[in-house]
Amino acid sequence: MTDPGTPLQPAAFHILLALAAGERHGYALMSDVEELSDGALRIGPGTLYGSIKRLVGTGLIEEAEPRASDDDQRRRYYRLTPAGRAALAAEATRLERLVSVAARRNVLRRRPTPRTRLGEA
Amino acid sequence: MERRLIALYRAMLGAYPPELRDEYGEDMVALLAEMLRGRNRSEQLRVFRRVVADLAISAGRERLTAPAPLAATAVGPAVVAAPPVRTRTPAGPTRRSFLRGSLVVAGAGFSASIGGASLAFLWPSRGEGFGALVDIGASGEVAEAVRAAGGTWAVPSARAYLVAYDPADDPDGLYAEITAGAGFMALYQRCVHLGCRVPWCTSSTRFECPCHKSRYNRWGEWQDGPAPRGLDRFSVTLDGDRVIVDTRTVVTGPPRMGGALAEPASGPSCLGGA
Repeated sequence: MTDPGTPLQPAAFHILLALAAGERHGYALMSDVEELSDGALRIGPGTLYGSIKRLVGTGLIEEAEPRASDDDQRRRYYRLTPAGRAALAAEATRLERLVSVAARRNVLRRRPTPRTRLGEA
Repeated sequence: MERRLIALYRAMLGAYPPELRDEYGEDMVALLAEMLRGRNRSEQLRVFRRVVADLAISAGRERLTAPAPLAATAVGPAVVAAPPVRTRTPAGPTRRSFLRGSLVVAGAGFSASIGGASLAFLWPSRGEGFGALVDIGASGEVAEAVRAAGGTWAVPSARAYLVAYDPADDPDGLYAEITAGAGFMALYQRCVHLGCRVPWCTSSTRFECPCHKSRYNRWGEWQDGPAPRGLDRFSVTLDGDRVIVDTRTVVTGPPRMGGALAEPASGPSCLGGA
């Protein structure tokens, strides 16, 4: 999973992506994942912490120092490790490559196809 | 409600392998608590069902992939060969055991979710909305709203009509108990015939059911049509100055001929023809 050649699980990828913007705790991560995926990926506590456990286990993320300012001090914050940042970049590059292939093969419909006016050939 | 769902979820964490539960169980419970906080009852149930569905799926995944195969330390591909590498092939699940396992876990999760949701519904509500004590407003405001609505005011949160109730029109005190001096009677909007919502017809001054033409007067007493009795209702009480409708219990409506109010229809029906 951490091998740059292997695709990341969707939940793991979204979690890494959310953490790329800074440290997050569980609830914020879950909300971010939903937002990043436009609501398509809604993960529950089980999927979230299962993924966190694997990501911590493989060294892609780590627990950050608890924050004294937080109203709930039991909250655990997570952040990317350098390895996590690298894995995220590798995965993003892989996806980018796929997307560009898709674009070349006219799979994407980003803009409406230009219309020809009446009278033009 | 919230506490019970959380307690139920905590009990259901048993579906996860102990390694995950020990390390993250409390975080998962705290996360559910955060997801439930500040939501109403029906939203909480929806959230809970989603979380339980996620539990069924993720517990299956965690049980069948644990213990996690030792992965290469992050991106460095060279460091794989630590001595006690557990290879997946002999220890890992076979296709059959995987399928069987996921079936069992999914089944357990599904039953738990149905069971949990049913329990949550069966528990008496101390929350808000229909099925609870519904605070309609200060009695002056309610009186004004009822007057402004022409004597029958629809209150969606209680699924009721609040109608003006003058004890002088009810010499036998048929409804004295369920109005408790509040000056309002709360009629359940549901037709006692087959359950359609019954609208008020201003021209005839009758509640007229569009489904099968049962009709009731402004106190919800049966006039004609297939309904077996008058509209069911809820008790109204005053809590200080607040008008409270108790939607926890439905009070069965009066029998067909047992009404108190003798008022003729004032004009044409809204149902046409009849």
